[in-house]
Amino acid sequence: MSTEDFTDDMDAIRLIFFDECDEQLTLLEEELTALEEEPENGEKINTIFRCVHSIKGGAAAFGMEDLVRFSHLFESVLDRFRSGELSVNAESIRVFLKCKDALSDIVSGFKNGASIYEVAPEITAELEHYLGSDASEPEPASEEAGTEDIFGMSFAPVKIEIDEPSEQQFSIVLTVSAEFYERGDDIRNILMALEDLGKIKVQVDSDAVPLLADISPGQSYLTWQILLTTEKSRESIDEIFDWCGDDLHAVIKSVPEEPEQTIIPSAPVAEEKTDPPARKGTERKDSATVRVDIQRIDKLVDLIGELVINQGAIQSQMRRNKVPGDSFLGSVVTAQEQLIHELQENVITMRAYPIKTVFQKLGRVVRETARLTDKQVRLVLEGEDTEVDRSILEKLSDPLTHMVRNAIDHGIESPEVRAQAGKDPEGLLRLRAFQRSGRIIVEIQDDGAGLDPDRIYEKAIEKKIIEKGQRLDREEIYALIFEPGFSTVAEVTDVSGRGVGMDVVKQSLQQINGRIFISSSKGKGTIFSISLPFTLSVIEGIIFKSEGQDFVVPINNVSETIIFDNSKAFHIGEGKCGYPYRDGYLSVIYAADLLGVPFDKKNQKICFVIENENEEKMAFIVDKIIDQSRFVVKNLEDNYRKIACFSTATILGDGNVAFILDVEFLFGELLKKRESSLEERV
Amino acid sequence: MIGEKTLVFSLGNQEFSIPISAVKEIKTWSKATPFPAAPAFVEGVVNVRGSVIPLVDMARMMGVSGNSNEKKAIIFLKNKDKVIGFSVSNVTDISDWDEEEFKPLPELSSDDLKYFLNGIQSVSGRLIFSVNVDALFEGSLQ
Repeated sequence: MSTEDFTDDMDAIRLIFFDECDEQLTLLEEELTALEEEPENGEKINTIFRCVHSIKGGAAAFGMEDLVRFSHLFESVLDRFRSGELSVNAESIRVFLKCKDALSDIVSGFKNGASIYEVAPEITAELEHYLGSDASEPEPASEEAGTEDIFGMSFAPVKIEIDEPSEQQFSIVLTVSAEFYERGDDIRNILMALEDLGKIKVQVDSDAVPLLADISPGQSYLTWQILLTTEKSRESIDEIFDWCGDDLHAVIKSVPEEPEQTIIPSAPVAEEKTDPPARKGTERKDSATVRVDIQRIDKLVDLIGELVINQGAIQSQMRRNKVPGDSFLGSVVTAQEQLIHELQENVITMRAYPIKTVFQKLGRVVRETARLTDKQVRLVLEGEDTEVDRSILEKLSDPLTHMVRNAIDHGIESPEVRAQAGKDPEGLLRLRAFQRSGRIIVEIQDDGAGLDPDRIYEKAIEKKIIEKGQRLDREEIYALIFEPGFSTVAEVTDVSGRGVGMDVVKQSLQQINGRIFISSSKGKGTIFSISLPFTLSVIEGIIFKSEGQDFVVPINNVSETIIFDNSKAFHIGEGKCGYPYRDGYLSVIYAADLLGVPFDKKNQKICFVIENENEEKMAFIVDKIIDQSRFVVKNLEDNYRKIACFSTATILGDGNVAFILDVEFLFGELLKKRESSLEERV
Repeated sequence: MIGEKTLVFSLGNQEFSIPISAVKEIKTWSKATPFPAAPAFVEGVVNVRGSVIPLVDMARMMGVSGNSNEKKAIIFLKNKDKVIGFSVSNVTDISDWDEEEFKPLPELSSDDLKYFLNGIQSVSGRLIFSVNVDALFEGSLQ
């Protein structure tokens, strides 16, 4: 309602710092994962170093000493790798990842108001091990901390780590003889070898190429001009050319101070060769973004919501005054409606975040779970740039964490079992996000043992979730794992299997209108696929009337609308009704009944066939349908609390509030009716 | 809290006051959208410029007797992060009386009412009860 002003500027700056830390940590995780793929890539180490360095710089400005101390240590270690003193291997990446996790722990510790944070000594020890004997660097942060002024407001200058004194530039001019090609060699091999040493820029000089008629196919006419920026010595360059003998002629010159542009003038045939992943990284940073307080965007979404409501008011007034739709006013108002919808969609996408922010956090979950369960797991992320509304993203993290843990703990087998089954001992966990028909799909796929329908069925009988002999199809059996109290693993493990599991996952997904589907094949693995709406702030719904009051039912819960014939409804016990539908019968709930007002069943004309997540159906009887439209969702808990029947509300064109039906609640009511009749019989 | 203004309003024929800092807005009374299973003192929800806000019949909640059926105004109060509307008989005036000048209620006051009140003050023959805003919110959200 009212904008919260930051009374304390310092707090606001702190918040920005933590935001930036989160960004740096995400980038750090990303780069570390990429480093695993190509440990030789010096550019990655540089980026990693810079991430840690900027966290340290900010931390010093805010006097977060423990954060400064640890990031300094981490940074010193990284520096050794960067300078080439130490080389990256799987072990060091494991340590780096651990340090990154520790770093994010410290950051969130400080974010939550802690003033001291102790890092586990074994992590520090591992880092110090890399520093060797001269590990005891005395100054933790004196260089940056010193710049803090009396107001504590100044930011420490962050050193820009681009031009390292250890980096050198070499200009290399290559010409090859015909024999070079006759040997079956390729100039690309040389270029690739050079690229391994550092960053290269290649330019091909084709001036010597004669007219087509004069070309001798065996001859080479090209000259390559290469600018190499490397930390390696001249010798390592020479080594490459030693290989090639006399077929290749190379002139190598060191170019110490000159900026690269002067050496290679832009030429018509210019080709830049930097390694693709690093380039992707810089591109992302270049995309122009503006940092906006999320509250401002939320306010904007609210305001546009009001605009939609006002638009509805205008249209309902026009209908009342019988203004024809094809009149000038009518067409202007229709055009306006279009614009407002577009505006709304655009603002809602502004609030969207790439799902990456959630996926990246799961990397850590995977590592920790794999360690606890002694399994080997490789995490593959796909579609990380798929955008999801922030409000949904916030609620997605917990269920996904749980499902990832489950997939590793229950899905992926131990390396020995996998080897026996002829699988790669390293399990594969794939997280995939994409858009399909207006919804966001998130898939969690493992290549583990798959779900065992027989075991689930037996377990469900044991846990009294189903009765013996009950006939269920495969999907229904899979769905049993979402029942409260269901857990397929007999002993409770550290990781999952506390009995509160998948039912909580399902519930939290339902809160964000998410649906979950399972497909599994024994021995091959399981795919959990979650379907989510793009936004929670607007729903498509049908507005209906019951006893003079307007209500909205979400359209994705209405499977069919039919004319209700009261004479066909029949009583099955006290206050319970049935109604024929297709070749079966549905339980009936009267909307007016829910309101607790006396009503005449003869007025009830319309029957919504309502369906929930489990594809259960019921007949929901109302007076009449008014319209189908998009409704701005207002949360009742903002100013009040949860209420029965309706989880949310919307504001209609006339300014009145209409409640949005909570379909899950309706089915709960139905269940209660069933239970109460059971009790009566007992 | 010296010199803080208070808003004086009536429920039936009794006068009450609340610190004006808690008042967000005053509107003429309008019918709220009722919802099922609501406590008897909750009239429903109303729309105030795009926000859905509960409307509470203050006299009914506090157990103030008298001709409290007459509701002419809604006082919207703000507390922490929530806004709730309270329907009252009428809004009388704004005064400079200090909250601290209010005297404790006599022992015999009804328990229900006492829960919602801070104290009582008499000003030129008028008896004004000071209402506790926190208690109002607590009572409404039950």
